Amino acid sequence: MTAAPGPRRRSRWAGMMVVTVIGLTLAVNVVRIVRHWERLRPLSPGDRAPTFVLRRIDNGRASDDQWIDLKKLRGDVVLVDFWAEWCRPCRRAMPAIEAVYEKFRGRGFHVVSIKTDGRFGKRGKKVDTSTTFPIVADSASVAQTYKVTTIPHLVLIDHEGIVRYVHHGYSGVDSLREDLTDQVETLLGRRALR
Amino acid sequence: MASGDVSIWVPGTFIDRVGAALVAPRRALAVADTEAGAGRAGSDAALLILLGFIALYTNEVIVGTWLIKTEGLRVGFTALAGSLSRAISNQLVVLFVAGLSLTIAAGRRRSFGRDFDLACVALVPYLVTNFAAQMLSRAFGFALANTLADGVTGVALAWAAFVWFRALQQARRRPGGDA
Repeated sequence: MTAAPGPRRRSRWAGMMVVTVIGLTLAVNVVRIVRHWERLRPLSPGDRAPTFVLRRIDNGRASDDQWIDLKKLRGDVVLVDFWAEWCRPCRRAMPAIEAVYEKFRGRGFHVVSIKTDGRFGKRGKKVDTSTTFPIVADSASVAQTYKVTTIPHLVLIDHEGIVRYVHHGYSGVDSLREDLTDQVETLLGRRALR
Repeated sequence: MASGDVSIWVPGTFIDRVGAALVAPRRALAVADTEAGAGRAGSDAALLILLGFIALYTNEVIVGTWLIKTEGLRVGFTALAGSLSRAISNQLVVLFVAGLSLTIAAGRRRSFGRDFDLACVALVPYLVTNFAAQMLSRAFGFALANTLADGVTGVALAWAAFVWFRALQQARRRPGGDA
C-alpha cells in the first residue's frame, strides 16, 4: 500500500492555516481588549455614569419637548433601568422599582426606565407598563455605552454622577425592592450630608 | 472513493481532519463514515465552533467571565450563554438541516449517527468560510455590507452543499442498509 503524500500534505497545510488564523484572530482580539480594557469592561461601581439625553415615551406618547437629560439630574440620586418589552423578568421587576420610586420620589430620587427595543411595543402597539416613573426609548445606543449584556439591568447613580450599584437579572420582587431601598436610602443619606 | 481507500492515509489529528474536510473532502468523509472515525467529525466541528467563538467573541467571553466573578455564576453564565447562542445558532441550523436531509436522501443506506457525522464534515467549509470573512472584517475594522455578507453566506453554503453531495455519495456507497 503506497502512501498518499498529496492529500496529506494539503490537508495538514489547510488545517494549519485554519488553526493559525484562529490563533492570530484570538491574539489580535486579546491585544485590542488589553489596550482598550477601560472602554470595553462592564460599568462597575466607582465609574462615572455616561450621560444621555433620551425622549420620553410614557404609555406610547412621544413628545418632542419631553426629554430626559441625565446631566440635569446631577445632584440627585438616579436609578437607570434597562429593559425590553419581550423581557418578562424586566416587567416582573417593575413593581419593585415602582415601590422604591413611590417611597423616595420628591426626596431627590429619580427613575429613568430605558426601553431598549424601540419606541413601541408588540405589533406597533403603545407600551403601557402601569408605572408612574418616566420611560424613555433608547435611540442612541445608551445600553451599549452602559455595556448592558443582560436585562433587567439596573444602575444606581449618586448625586455626583458616579455609579454606586449595578444589578443584573431578576431574583424576586421582594429581594429587589429591599436591595434597592437599602441602596437608595444610603445614597440619599450621603446626599443630605454633602 | 471506496471506503477501503481510507487505509492509504487516515487523517489522525484534529488539524488533519479539518484540513481534509476543506481540501480532500472525499477522504475526510470516508474516514468519518468508518467505525473508527465515528463521532470524531462531530467533536471536530464542536471544537472548531468553540475555537471560532472564543477567537471572534473574545470580548464577550471576557465580559461573561468578569460578570461571573463580580455578579455571580447566574448572571455571568446567562451573558455567556446569550452570546454563544447568538453566535452559533445559524451553524446549528445548517448542521441540523444537512444531517436530516442527508439521512432522508440516503434511503435504505441511512445510518442516523453516521449521517450526522458526514454532515459535520460538510459543516466545516461553512464554518471556515464564515469565520474567515468575520476575521477579515474584524482585523481590518470594517462591517460586511449586506450584499458582501450575502455573497459570503452563498459561497459558504455552496461549498458545504458540494461536500454534502459527496457525503450523500459516501452514504449511498455503504454496504446494505440498516434503516
